[in-house]
Amino acid sequence: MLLHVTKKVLIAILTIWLIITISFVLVHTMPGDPIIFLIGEEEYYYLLDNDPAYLDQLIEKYGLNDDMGTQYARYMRSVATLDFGESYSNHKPVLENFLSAAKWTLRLSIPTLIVACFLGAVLGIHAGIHPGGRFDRITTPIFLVLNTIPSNCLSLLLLILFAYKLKWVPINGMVSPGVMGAARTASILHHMALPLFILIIFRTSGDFMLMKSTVSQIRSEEYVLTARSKGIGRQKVLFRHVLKNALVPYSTSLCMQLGSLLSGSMIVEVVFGWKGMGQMMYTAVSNRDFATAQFCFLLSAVCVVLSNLLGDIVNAAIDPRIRREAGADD
Amino acid sequence: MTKLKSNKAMLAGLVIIAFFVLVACLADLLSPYDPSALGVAYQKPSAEHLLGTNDLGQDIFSEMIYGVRVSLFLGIFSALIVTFVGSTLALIAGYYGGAADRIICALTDIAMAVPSLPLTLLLIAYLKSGVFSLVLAISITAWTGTARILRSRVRQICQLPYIKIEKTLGVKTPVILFRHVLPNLKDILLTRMALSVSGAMMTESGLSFLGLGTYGQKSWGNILHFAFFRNSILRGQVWWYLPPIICICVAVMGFMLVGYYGQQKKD
Repeated sequence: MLLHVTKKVLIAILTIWLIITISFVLVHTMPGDPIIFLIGEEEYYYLLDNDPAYLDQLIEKYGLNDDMGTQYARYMRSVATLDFGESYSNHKPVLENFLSAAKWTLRLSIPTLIVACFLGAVLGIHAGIHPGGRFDRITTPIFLVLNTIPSNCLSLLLLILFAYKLKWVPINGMVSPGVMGAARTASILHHMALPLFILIIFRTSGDFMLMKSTVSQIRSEEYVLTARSKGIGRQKVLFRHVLKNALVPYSTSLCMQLGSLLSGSMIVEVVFGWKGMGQMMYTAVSNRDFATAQFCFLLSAVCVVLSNLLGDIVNAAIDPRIRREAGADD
Repeated sequence: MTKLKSNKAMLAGLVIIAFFVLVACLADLLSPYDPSALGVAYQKPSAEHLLGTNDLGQDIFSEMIYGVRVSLFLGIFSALIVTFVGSTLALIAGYYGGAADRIICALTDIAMAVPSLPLTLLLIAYLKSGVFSLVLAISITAWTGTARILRSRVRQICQLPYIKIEKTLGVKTPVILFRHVLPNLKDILLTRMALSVSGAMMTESGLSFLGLGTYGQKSWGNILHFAFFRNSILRGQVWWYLPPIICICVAVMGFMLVGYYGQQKKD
């Protein structure tokens, strides 16, 4: 068990290092002068025309004339000390911008994760326990369709219906201006209702599909048949034998979903003008704000790697088969 | 053919795909106007302009018809790359095993850990925008699923007696791989590819909707981008924002139906 976990941790560290290196290599192999990626396109062309001496000074300042090894070492040091430079759209440190955006994204993504986890599991079990039954025949196509509609299309359709036609929810934004205290909380809740609903729909349909296929697979295993033929009641078999096994892949997948807490809702955020992480990355990319874009990439990559690691550990902790297999393996 | 008929969902998917492919081929005949020709802006649907005109006075109906080409091309081209890369790696890993297998598996694990949307966006930020960048950005992390599924299938096939016998007889590797292993993967390759197309089209529509897709050539996602950011919803111009939404959903659904139900039939 310990060996298994250590191995996974080492692989995770290696992956994170690789991802950091990839983003370094990207800057230095992409077409164009690397200084563009540090100060931005407009600034670069402006300086190139008007003040080439200052541009050289900047190149010197960022150490772009040093050899690759020195530059790489400096880059790794700045990442290790969480110094990600400054966003050139508002000239604040990237980290500061991130903290305010992350708060808003988490307000959407944490409730989504919790609600979808329960809804997906309950509906998935119902559909999976009687594959081909009435409940399955109704819910599966619905969720399959929801799972395939691109999020921009569904967001727009629901936005038109609920915000423009029915006027139940505000069209855009996160909070009405000039309200304080409890009224402010109510306003935020009112604004987040629709984006939250859409995110929950998507997450639930994914969770539903997973739970349904796992349960319907386990249901046809021999040990379930044995348990039933021994005369154990339906409910008891469901909870003791089917659910216990189905929860292994499900909880692993939930752990992995933690990785997309910060970066998983970009299109919905853009459509609803929600100033979270997704919006921040979108703005960074469309304004060619490379410091911010690179930070967002690194952050979401590290989140995914760490949550995958958590998934592996939880998996090994609850499933004795994996523990033993891994033990024999090492 | 009877097998196909018994599976209505898959048939529906095939009909949808065939319809869009036909429209893409006949775009020049079907579209009444040049989609980039300028005219009177914000016209309502009429006999001359079936779906009205957009903010630049371009005929939306013609735009939609030419959009089929761009959207389908991007989706299918990306899926071809994904399938090619995925199956090549799968054949190498599954056939040779050992060190090659371990390296490719490790590579797949790492690529799976990289979050695809942020990487795609980062690449688009660095690369000059264009069709090639978009295809590269879409396919760079999308090959992992195909590679993983095909690898285990190739491994299974290579354990079968006839492949083992061929290996012992000294039949050349390319002959074994292309004449005897690959044909067995035909079904799974096609269903995976249909799923890849639907995935690539979804990614493309999302990116183009955000305005990060191709410039010049308009895909459906791009039309939707202009419709949304030029306030067509506020103005109630249903004929502008609804057609691209419907087309994207239906096309993605078509490929998904073929992929999903094709896979199930095999199981």
